[in-house]
Amino acid sequence: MEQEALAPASPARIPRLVVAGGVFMISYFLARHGMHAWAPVSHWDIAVMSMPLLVFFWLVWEVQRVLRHIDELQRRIHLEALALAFLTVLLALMGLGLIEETPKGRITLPFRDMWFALLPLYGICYLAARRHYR
Amino acid sequence: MIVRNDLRERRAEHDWSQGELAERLGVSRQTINAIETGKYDPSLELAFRIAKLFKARIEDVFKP
Repeated sequence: MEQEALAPASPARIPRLVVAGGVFMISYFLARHGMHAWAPVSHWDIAVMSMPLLVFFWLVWEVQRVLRHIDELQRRIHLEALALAFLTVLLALMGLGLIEETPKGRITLPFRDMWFALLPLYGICYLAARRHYR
Repeated sequence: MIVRNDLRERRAEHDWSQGELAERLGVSRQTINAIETGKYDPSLELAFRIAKLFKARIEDVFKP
């Protein structure tokens, strides 16, 4: 207990998280490529789509490991950043839903690339949350 | 409820920098700074560790 309490906030777990994130991204883009390449063979679709999902569970596990051992203020900042990001996405989706309700408001969103916008959004929310504790 | 603390004074008595204190407690320097400026109230576990490090009672370091 004592040793654990006094252990420095080591970033030793970060490399594993980066590797998991990298492997996930590779598997995701391989799956996307595979969906195009093997599209005619429909029974392969689910298998190809599941490939990044398996790696995703590993990534989530690594994120949890990092969050459990991270400095408690950092944990609080990440929590606030997540809350901000979630509400921003909720507001954006509700706004887009309203636009679709208008007669000429039909919008076609590139769902396959929308996830990419979430990364900088989370970064902005993280910086906003961190600012309060500086 | 606002919780005040005399962490800065106690740290100064020991002539520790924020970084040194952070290292002793196993937290980041930003955490120490946020506690000292009253922007962040530490967890009960960290509050006990701080009190123990300064050989004080928790209610002497943190006051409502």
